[in-house]
Amino acid sequence: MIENFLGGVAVVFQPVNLLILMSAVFIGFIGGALPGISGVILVVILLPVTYGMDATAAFMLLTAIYGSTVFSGLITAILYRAPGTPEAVMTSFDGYPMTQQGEAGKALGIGILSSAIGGLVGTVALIVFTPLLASVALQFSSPEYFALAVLGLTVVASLGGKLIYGLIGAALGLFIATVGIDPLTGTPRYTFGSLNLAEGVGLIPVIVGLFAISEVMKRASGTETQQPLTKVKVKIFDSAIMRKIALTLSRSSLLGVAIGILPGIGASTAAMVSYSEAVRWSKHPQDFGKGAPEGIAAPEAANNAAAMGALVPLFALGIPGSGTTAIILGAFIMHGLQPGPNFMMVSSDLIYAVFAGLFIVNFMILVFSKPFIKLFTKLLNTPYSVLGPIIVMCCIVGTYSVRNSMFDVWLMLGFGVLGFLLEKLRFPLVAIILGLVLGPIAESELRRSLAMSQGDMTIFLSRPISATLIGVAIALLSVSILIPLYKKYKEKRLYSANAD
Amino acid sequence: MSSKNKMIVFGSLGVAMLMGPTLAAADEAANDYPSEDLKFLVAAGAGGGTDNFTRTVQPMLEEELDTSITVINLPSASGSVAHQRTANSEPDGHTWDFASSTLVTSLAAGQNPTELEELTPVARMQSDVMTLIVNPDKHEDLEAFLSYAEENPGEVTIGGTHAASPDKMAFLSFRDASGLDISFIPYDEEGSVSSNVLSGNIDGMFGEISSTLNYIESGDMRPILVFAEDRLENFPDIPTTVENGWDLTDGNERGVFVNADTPPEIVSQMEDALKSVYDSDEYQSYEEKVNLHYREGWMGSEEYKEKLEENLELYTRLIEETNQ
Amino acid sequence: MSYRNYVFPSALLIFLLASFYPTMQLPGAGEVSTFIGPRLWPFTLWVILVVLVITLFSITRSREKRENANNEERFNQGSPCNKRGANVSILSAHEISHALARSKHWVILVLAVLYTVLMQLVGFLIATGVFSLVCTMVLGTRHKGAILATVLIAMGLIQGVFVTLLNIPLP
Repeated sequence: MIENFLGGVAVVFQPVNLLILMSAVFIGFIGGALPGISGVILVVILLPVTYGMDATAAFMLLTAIYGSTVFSGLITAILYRAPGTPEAVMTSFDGYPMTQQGEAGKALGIGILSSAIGGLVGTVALIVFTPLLASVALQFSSPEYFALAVLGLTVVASLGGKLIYGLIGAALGLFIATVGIDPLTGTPRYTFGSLNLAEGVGLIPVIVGLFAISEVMKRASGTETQQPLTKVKVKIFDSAIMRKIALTLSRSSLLGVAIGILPGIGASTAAMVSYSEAVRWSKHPQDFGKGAPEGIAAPEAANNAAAMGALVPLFALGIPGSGTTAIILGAFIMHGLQPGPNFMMVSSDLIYAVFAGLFIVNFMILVFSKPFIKLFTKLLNTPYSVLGPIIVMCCIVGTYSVRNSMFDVWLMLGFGVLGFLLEKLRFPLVAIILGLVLGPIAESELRRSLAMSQGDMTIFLSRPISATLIGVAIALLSVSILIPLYKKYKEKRLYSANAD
Repeated sequence: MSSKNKMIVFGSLGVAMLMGPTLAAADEAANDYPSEDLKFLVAAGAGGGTDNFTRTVQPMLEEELDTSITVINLPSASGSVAHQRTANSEPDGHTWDFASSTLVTSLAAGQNPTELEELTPVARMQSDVMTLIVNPDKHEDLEAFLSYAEENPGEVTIGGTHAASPDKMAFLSFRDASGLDISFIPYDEEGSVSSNVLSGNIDGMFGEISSTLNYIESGDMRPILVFAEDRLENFPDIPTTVENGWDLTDGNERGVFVNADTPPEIVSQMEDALKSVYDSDEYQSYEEKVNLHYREGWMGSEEYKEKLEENLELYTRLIEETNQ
Repeated sequence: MSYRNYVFPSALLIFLLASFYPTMQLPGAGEVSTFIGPRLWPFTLWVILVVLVITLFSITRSREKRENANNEERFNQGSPCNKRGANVSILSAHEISHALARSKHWVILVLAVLYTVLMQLVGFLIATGVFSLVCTMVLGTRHKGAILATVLIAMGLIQGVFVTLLNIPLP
């Protein structure tokens, strides 16, 4: 295996391949930083270009783009609260407050470091464990996915802000997620006969609206003053911070890999679960959402690790772990390759070259992100009256280009207004996203599980993995809801005793 | 034409459509077709089989018709948006709709408001072979599967993609023909279906042979029934539906559609162009690469239309029967 | 003053009441072939949301009662509206008219809506130019060079990245 890997490294270091990797990283950077342009779109666009290329080079290009888009979503998430990719939503949660406090450079540094480490851990797992992990991932079927979604939803309790708002937000997100054609029966739900709603409410319009548009509106209304940014200096290796986030980094990276290898569950979910675990394990959970370094490290390490993890089932079994990997799978077939159980043996040269390429891409991210970000931070100092319109335009055009749908643009603007109004209540907007992402998984997998068991509810408890996950979720939920409630109750009694 | 100019053309096209009356007379158009750039609407998301097909024939058609082509993916509502836009486009043959069998299956399921009469099928280019695939650890062959399903009514679960897909129709028609008491679980992605078959969580799946070939070769999956009249040359051991007395031969098909009001001369021009692309070595080697060469894909406009009408009638009946 | 606190729960309640009918219209398990029909899940969520809204109402009420019971001074300190008022007055020192400052974000939104409409009518390139021009001016840039630069950057960015580089079809 090590021999294979070294062989792969040798292939990568051919000048042509290095050049391909570098341009891939650069394209990924740009695409990831623009809201609406996700890895999926980039890979699709470049697919025809790769047909003429040698298979090894083609797949290094595609996977490198995939890796670097997941990374670069964090730039705009931190600087403008306009997550460039859905995976970076959680990053804006702590990253943007840091920018507002004038610490954009620090926030970006943490993000870059965490991404690179998460990506490296993911790549190592990919190289070493692919055959082993793939068989573990196969143990996950509908009941386990349902349990995982439930576990993800318990995050609401640790989001901060008013618990009741968090619960309403998550429930609202879950409710919005039911719009569209029911995947199990094909019944249209809440579409009111409109074709635009048949596919459901898209994630991109909601995210871009709730976060980016509402932020531009807030800034335009002038009710929030912002610290004038002087010079943003990105510092990647800061020993004090590194010590602080070391534990979070390692936990989130491993968690990211574990979630990433599950087919059908992507890096966005990994970032959410990892963020909530960071809050849960933190000694000072009250700092989250206000600019905690761990709040950036956790989702960034996890989403990059998960992105690499999603390649595990692809290489080992020919099963795509996410939307982007599904397209890469299609590309393999177009190149006359057969991803599947024998893929690792038949095309080992190609696979190890791709592995080595990904390994090096993560280092490239560390090196090249700094000059690239400088470009963006320079923009930060331009007046918002210039920047605001450009952000709005990118949001509109980006949202449109996802599905070539004008309806999505209207939806996005609507959610922008909603986000703006809800922000005034200090409503945790991310709870809505959480419900929207996990809702379809929870519902469909619940119903698929019951179809598997012919309606027997005990299927969730008779399978060890799902039983464990559900047990953990219930325990966590009861602890995180009951303790604050009990505290409140005690306070209330104290208060009423005093009032009397 | 530069892409900037292209945009302006599309922009003014939009204005023209809004204004109402059609500007181009149909007869004139037939002589110098295509008189402007073409627009290919893909009734599926980027990266899928239909998208691959469209993007593969795009450069070939650009050469054939000496024009430039913009590809637009409209995956919303199982591609219904693409069909609707085609049906509402100007009937001059400049808007092509690339669709799969999902066009009829979603129509049968009542999810597609564009009737078959509003579109003219130009040609069928691909015909994938539908198979029933099982995990060999669970079921040895077709006989073992059938006897297991008979002995355990209601317990056999079969996976497939989506609730109104060709997979689902294959399931419904198979259940209708065989009379077995089996149930269907729709998944969002094909990957989820195959992983559930691999892990033995479900008994089997309906799927195209092209996408599962590698599992078949590695022995992790086994096709036990082919939806075809004669056994496939490459897989002589797999029994067919017809030899078992079930008249089921439909798989997933991909073809091209236009607005039904398009003048017949233009439709036949389009058909000719597609035919010469289909016959080219370049296209045939693509079919072989993606394992779509097991049976003849080509079907002309008239024949394809009849076939689609037949399919629609059958699927509508099957769905009505299930809901009773 | 107190009505402000009820705007959100009331709006949510109206939304829920409006969605009750379409929810009940969905077929239940008996009418389809799956074990749980398309109705159960959204209906459960609907019930949960109603319970949460009622809880929110009661929380808001009880807090208001408590605040009313406290003295006026403490109420004022805790009110977010007052703080916002203070900020606005700071801004007016920057010679921005009160009314415009307070409604600028809605102007931006209206402009974004117009941009979207315009894009479908005359194509995105012209719309982008017009939008960036007007929007930059509304947001308070007076310098001609800056305005021109914004318009050029905006048009270049959209044309360059989305059309040329990524080959995305725009209207």
